[in-house]
Parts: sequence; C-alpha cells; structure tokens
Amino acid sequence: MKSPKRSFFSPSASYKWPLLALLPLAVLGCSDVRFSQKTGDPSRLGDIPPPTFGEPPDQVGGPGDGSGGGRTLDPNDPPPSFGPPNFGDGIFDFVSAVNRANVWIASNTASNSLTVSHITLDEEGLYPVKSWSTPSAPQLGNRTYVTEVGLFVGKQGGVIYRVDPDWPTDREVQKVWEIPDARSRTRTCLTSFRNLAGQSFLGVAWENNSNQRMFSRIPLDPASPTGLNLEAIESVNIGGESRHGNAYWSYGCFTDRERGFFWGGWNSNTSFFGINLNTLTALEPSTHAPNRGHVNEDLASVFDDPGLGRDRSYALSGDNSGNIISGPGLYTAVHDSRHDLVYMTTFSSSRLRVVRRACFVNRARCAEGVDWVEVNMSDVGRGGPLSTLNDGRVIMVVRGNSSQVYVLRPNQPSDLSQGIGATRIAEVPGNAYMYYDFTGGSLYSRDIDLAVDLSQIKGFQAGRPVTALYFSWLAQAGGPSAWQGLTLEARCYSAGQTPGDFAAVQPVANAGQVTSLQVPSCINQAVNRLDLRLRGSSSGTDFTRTNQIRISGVQ
Amino acid sequence: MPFGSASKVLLSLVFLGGALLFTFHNCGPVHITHQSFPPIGEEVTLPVMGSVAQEKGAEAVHTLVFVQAAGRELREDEGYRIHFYTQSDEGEELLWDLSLTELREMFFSTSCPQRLKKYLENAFGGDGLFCNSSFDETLISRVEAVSEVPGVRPREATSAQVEFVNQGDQVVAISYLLE
Repeated sequence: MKSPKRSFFSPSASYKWPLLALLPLAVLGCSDVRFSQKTGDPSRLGDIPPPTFGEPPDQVGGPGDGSGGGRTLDPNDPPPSFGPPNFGDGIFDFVSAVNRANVWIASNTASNSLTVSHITLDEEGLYPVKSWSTPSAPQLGNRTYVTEVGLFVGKQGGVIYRVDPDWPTDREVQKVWEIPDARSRTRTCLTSFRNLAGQSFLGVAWENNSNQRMFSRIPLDPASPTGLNLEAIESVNIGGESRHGNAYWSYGCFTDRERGFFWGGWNSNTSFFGINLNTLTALEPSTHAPNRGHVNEDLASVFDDPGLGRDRSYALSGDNSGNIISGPGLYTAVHDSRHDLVYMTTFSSSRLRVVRRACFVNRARCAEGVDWVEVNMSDVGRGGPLSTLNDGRVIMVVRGNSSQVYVLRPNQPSDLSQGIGATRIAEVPGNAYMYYDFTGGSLYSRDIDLAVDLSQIKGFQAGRPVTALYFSWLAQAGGPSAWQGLTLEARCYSAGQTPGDFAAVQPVANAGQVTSLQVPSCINQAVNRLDLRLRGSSSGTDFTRTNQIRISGVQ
Repeated sequence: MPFGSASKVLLSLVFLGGALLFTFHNCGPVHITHQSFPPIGEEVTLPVMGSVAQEKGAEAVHTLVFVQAAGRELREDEGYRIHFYTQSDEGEELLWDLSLTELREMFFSTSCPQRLKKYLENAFGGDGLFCNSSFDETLISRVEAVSEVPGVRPREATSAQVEFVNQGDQVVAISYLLE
C-alpha cells in the first residue's frame, strides 16, 4: 500500500546562514536545466496536499508597513514580516541589502569633533539612535559611504574614519587611514564598488600636494580591525590638467555602477572628471554619462546636458543607471528606484523638486504637476543632503546647529500633485556634513549563502524522496514586491555526499507568493540538505531588497 | 587681439538695464532663521507649489567677465591667476583658479554659439566668456588676483559691475574691479 505523501514544514531547519554567509560556498558552476515535473508545480498539485505553513503566505505579517507614519499599507507592498526569525517556523533572515533600513548621520558637534549617529527605521516608529564620536578630527568636509563593514567618513585633508554598527557606543570613531601627501584642503570623496572579479573595495578620491587628482582603492576586509586591507592600497594619479577652468575634484562624487565609472568634481559650477574603477585609468574627456545630450524642454532651466562636463549642483549626483543629474540652483539629487523618482534639494530655502527620472534621460517634455513638482518645505526646513533607501523612501537632512532627519515619500506615486509626505525621525547633535550615500541604498547587493538542514524540519522523513520544495520570500518594508536584479540558485544533496552543481531558480514569484524550487538535484531525490545562493545579477543598485525567506516541501 | 583692449570700449557701450553695482560683503550664505519642526514620527505633507523655472527666463545666458585693476587691464606678464571663490556650506571655497591666459582662452573653448562669439569678438572682446549659463555671478563671493611673480601683491576685487550687453541674446558683462 502506498503511503500518503507528507508535507514537512516549520520546525528546525538549522539556522546556519549567518555563520555560513561568512564562509562562501564553493562556486561549482550552475546548471541551466529546467525541471518541469508535475509535482514541482504548485498549480498542478492535484491530490497532493499543498505545503502547509503556519499560515498561508497571503496572510502572514502584521499590520502596518513598518515605515512609520501610520500610512495605509500599499496593496502592492508585500507583508512586512513572516514574524521573527524562527527556526521552528522555518523562517530565515535573507537580507539582500547591505544596510537594511538604517540611516547614518555624520555631524560636526564642536570644533574638530565628529559624531556619527545610526538611526534605525524600526517598525514601531521609535527610531532608536546609536552614536559614536571622536574629539579630534579635521573640521570640514565629511563625505560618507555605507559598506559591508560599516560606515566610512572621509574628512578634509584625506583622513578616513570608520564606524561598525555593532560597536558599543563608548567606542571612539576609528581613524583608519590618513593619506600621505594629501593636501590640507582636499576633500575625501568616498565610494564602494566591486571590480569585475567581485572583490569589494573602498574607493577614495583626493588631491595631492602637487595639485594632482588622485584615486585610491582599498580592499574591504571584514576580518581586519579597520575593515580594510591597508596592505593592498592602490593609488593612481589621473592628472592635474584643467577643464573649463577647473582642475580639482573630490569635493563631490558620483558612482556609475553599471559602467564602473566614478565621477568627481569641485563644488558648484565646475567641471568634473572620471575614472574607470576597473582599470583605474582616467576617463577621456570624450567619455560621458549615458544621458549626454539629453535636453528636456520643460526643465531646461534647471537641468544641464551632462555632455557639457560641467556640474552646477553643489554635490554631484545621478541616478541608478549612471545618468548624471546636475543643474543650476541644485544642491544635490537622489534617485529612488522603486517609484523611479528623482528628489532634488535646491538652494532655495523653501523648495524641494521631485521629478520622474525619465525627464532627465529620454523624455523631451515633462509637464509640471504631472511629471514633476516642487513642494513647499517651509514646515520642515531647508533640505540638504539626500540618500535613498531604494524602497520608495528617501532620507533628507536639514542642517543646522543640530540636524533634522526626515523620511520622504510620495503621498501618491502616480499623482505627484498629492504632495510629498515627510516624517521627521530624529534630531542629531551638530551640523550634518554629508552629501552621498548614508543609507547604503546605493550599494550593490549582498551575497547570501544559506544552508538548510532539511532533516531538522518538522515532518520531514529521512530517506523519503522530496517531491516538491517551495519557498516564499518577503521584501523589506515598503520595498518592491517583484523579484529583480538578483539571481537565486539552489542545490540539494545528502549529508556526507559531495554537493553537485547549483541550478538557477527562475522565475521567482513575487514577495509573499510561493515559488517552487524546480531543481533536479532536489526533486524526487532522497536528500536532506538544501543550499541557496543569492547573487546580484549586475553591479547595479536596482535590486529587490529581500528580508526573509521561508521553506517548505512535500514528500 | 580681441580681448582686454576692448574692455573700455565695452564699458562705454553697454547700456541696457543700466549699471548695477554690488559689493561682496553681503554675499555670504543665507542662514536659516527657521524653525520649528514637526514632532518626531508625525508625517506632514509638503504641498505642491508653483514653479520657479519660468522665472529664470529673464536671466542672462552668456556672460563676459572682465577683471581690472585700478582702471587698467591686467597684463599676462604680471603672472596673475584669478581666483573665484564661492561661499559654500562648508565655508569659503575656491571655485575657479584661472591664469589670465586661461581666462581669455575660454573665449574659444566655451560652447557659445558661433554667431554670438563673432559678434562679441568684433564688438567687445573681454577677459573671459562664459556661455550657456556656465557662469552664475550669484555664486561668486569673492574674486582675487594672485600673482605668481615674486613681489607682485595680490589684489582683491572690491566690487563688481554688471551690465547688459545684449538683451536679445541674454548677454551680460561683469567687471570685477580690483583694489
């Protein structure tokens, strides 16, 4: 007599990924074989009992969207959480973004004193703040970037500091590198990038005492006390010639991840220069951002053709596709990829401009009130630095003797005339000196290697073939519910065996829905181990911010 | 030579809009006198307001720049470099550092319409030509001429004179007058 097929679910898939994520699995190549067995398709399960979770995927999670402000949950939003990571329920953290929903603020709290604050956008709306400081740092010129090993701050004169979010607050902000030969007035503009081999670096633009534009790259090294491999610094000189009356850079900078280009300029209304991050060679003047030559008739007075090589914004900026966005009266700009909007702070004390990104890329006409708006800032203060969470929300800082931190998002993304919602989430001491990534939102995705011991899952019967294997995932609060910019691979094997190749899992269903893992090594195999491997499908920043994953199956 | 020598001619010719004389002492950043802030955690709506983009239509598009010392033109053999400063939110910053030669060569290197270049070259000259809104005098907080020749003292601009050259082509001339 044939025994009924059983589902296994919940309990104790071994929660190993935080440890195993530090020990990347061997890359064994991946198979492109598609598995189309009936039992692998949940829509064709027939008499097979459906996988039983603690609750169906469309009912998981609690109320609210976790972003504060009491806003009604967007029907397109995935539920915010399966619940706390819980081995018994088979719930795993599966966070694709380096920085979850945190904000870093670097501020000058007194003469030569640097304070770094770390604000968490928690679901409760409490916005806890953790801070560190150092009493002796160069006074000016904070440039920030969030990386896998914490926040780096570049100060005037070529001094670089780091803070690890896990540090206790009584620990001083760490000075990690003081650049030899950096001239005293140089700014130290930072970025983080991966080279073609996938190695992560901190990138540093600076100027030397001979007025030459310099760029250094330092491998990130989580095992090092500084987070960097300072023995492997590479510095290149990309010249000192003037262009359009300007020879300087590193005051402002912008990274085009798609092309591996880094652009740097000097303050308002100056030229900017580029370097190829893979070859560490200067970009020729004939090399431009992809939106070179674009003109928008309705925004002509506030947007410059990047092909002019001139940056008229205070802090150079662009979108997630490498397009440079600059114009007169512009303080800085940032791109939210979820709603494809560009937020622009201006030198006007009362105006914030919000524009559909296409207006700066390929649309010749953009109607005010429809494709772009300017909103009144008088209730919140003059906006300055901007950084994106890339989940529909943007962080804006209002500078002053103390600095105000706001979350911005459109009240109705499809109708900008409804205005922009602004929620103040913190006041931090001192004047916030930052212009670039202080959320981690412009960083590439994080690699995840999750190993699941299927035999620990309640209901799993050792020795029985697995006839179907499922997972569902959730996005960060407010994040897009479609799977994009990430590749997922899986393989199964039995303990003691040599694992086989990974196979691609595609397509991946939207957040909260069930995806069948149709992987040959898993289906109809008597296996008890599952490896999942998540990678960014490009070096870009437009990827799904995953949050959790839940696994179940049928035997 | 099209430059410099014609500047006096220019200054005597320009007339539209009259002369506007301003000094630099008020060019610092505008400080926020604001502000009460919304309570933490409370969302407020930033309402849509009218655009200022159209207001910019009357602004100059092309700018001739002159740098003069005590009523005379600077000579290239004096080794002056012209420093244009701006008041950023991190204090005063050097925006452009141009030798007199570089400044004058901008007449050729900038992206001005050829027709306009010829018109200006023939009629006026100038120390520098900034086209297509590449020069915004509101950003300039201070101008200084610093000589690389030993013994030649630096000279700081004490005022700037702004005049319309050609309203139809939206050209202005700005003369920085050094002490």
